Amino acid sequence: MKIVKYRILDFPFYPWLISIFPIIHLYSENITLVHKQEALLVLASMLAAATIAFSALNHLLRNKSKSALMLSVCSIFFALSGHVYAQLSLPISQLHWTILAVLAIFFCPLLLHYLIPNHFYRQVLASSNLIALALLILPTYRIIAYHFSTKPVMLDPLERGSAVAAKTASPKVNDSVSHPDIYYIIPDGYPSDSWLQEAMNYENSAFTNALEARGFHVIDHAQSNYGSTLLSLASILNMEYFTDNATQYHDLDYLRLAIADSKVARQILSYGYTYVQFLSGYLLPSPVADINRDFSPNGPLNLIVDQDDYSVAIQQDGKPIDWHASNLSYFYKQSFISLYLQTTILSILESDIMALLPRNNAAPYELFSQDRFLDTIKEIETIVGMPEATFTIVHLLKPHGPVSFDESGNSIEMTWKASHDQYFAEFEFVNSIFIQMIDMILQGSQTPPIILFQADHASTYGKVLARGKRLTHFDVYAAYYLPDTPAMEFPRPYTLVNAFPLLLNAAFEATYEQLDDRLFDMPKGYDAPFEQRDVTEAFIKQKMK
Amino acid sequence: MRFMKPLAKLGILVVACRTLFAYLDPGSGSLIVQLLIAAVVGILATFRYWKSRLLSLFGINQESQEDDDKAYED
Repeated sequence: MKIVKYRILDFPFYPWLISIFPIIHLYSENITLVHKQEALLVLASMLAAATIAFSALNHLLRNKSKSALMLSVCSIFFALSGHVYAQLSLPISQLHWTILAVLAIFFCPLLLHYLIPNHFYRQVLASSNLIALALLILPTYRIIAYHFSTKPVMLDPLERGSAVAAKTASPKVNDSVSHPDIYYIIPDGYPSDSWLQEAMNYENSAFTNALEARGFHVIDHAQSNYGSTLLSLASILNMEYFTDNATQYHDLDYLRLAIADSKVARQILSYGYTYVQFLSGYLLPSPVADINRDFSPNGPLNLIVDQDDYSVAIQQDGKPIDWHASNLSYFYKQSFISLYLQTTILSILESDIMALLPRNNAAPYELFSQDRFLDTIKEIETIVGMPEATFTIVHLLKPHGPVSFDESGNSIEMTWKASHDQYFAEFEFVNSIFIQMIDMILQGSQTPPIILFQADHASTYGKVLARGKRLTHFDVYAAYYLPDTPAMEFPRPYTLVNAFPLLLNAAFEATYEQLDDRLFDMPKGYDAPFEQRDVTEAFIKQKMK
Repeated sequence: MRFMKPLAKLGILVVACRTLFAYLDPGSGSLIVQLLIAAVVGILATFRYWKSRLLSLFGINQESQEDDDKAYED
């Protein structure tokens, strides 16, 4: 009698696991920054593709074990191609690299077919299954741990009550000499002129001269306290350092909440200001803002934040649109499909594939969209025209990469690997847009406004003053338009945590103490924003002119 | 020596991957390291097969290898 032993490891399931491993790994690395639904869609698509490919190979070869190994090899080539090309500065074009990868996908199975005897495939079956299972343990654990260890962004009852109180504490006032409009404009990653000169051999004096001619005070020795957006903005808007996270929120959510509901905003609200926050695709809607505005292909969106559950209703032209964004991450998470495609052999077709996918034109633009940048600047005009005294925060994702404009503002293919010339061609276009924006604000304002044109951190392009893999780009562009305030002195050193204490003391006779100027580096990639080191001594700018 | 440059490049790739996606991190270094470890483990797991194939090239232990081959046939 023939005894048939069935063991689970005898079935070749590892090609399916290997095909989804890069997806789960990528998602686990970016879990707080990408849409979960898109990750699930990619996962399901990959499983379906693996099933079809396995069936086709097995039909052809009549050998499950052999089909499994061949499919796994092809999956690895498919998934690693974009990673390897992005990381290695190879002296070949992306097209040539893609052709090589496609050839590898076709010829490796052929080589296996002719070089490896059939019994080998059977021998590696059980161990391949086990190895594939082992590969999934780490990323799966990270995903599960994230879901169990962090709580979703929400307002606790105490925070709800205080947010309502902050919004309604003072009667709103119109802009006047005592209450000029305040614009806090954040050009992401705009470095100081001296850094541009020293590190990039670029002369930015034309832009600085244009601002000074309009009455701006440019502080070339200004430095951010952190080399990353969320830490820097949280610190500036709360006038304190952020060195740890004692809450149950994920670190990045904690920082986003600190930006959305900041001490600076509450202080300015208490003066009777109308608080306006423009979303950038990277921030949370503010529970204390009077106006939260986002931008979509259909036009600007007005976000109505529910003070009870922190959900957001969305209006366009005063009419509600047909969905209710109960998940706040919708406003800052990025496309997983796009990220995944960039890491695979399909990297070269990423923009074409993304263009083919259906898109809801009422949904906000992607973070790095050119239209988001242009529409945001255009929308400032509506705030300038408001009679109320407004405090407006505008986060603009330029001159931060990727480069997507030429010097005339024409679209070019978005690239993270811009040449020096491409980067500065866009830089000059962006400068011209910034000057137009400043002129629009100055000319449209009934009362001369206060304008802080101040970067969050310095450039991530080119020669970054990084030690190891840590972010240390502190030398930021900072230019202030401060009418009717006594001539302000900016101390040396001057770091941005003291920007609002100085401003509020000068313009509103507040009595904020200046903090010690400290600079903190952090690891790249936002994995551990609170693994900071005090690098003040190494990087602070103290020299007198 | 001509292999040193590609090897050095691979080393740089593994230990010092660059973030080209700004806020997003493709995690290329750790992905490649994990796949390399998996490949090494896979080779070690089938060491008996490789060993017998290698020995058979030199005409050693041929009988044993044939037994192995037979044992693993589908």
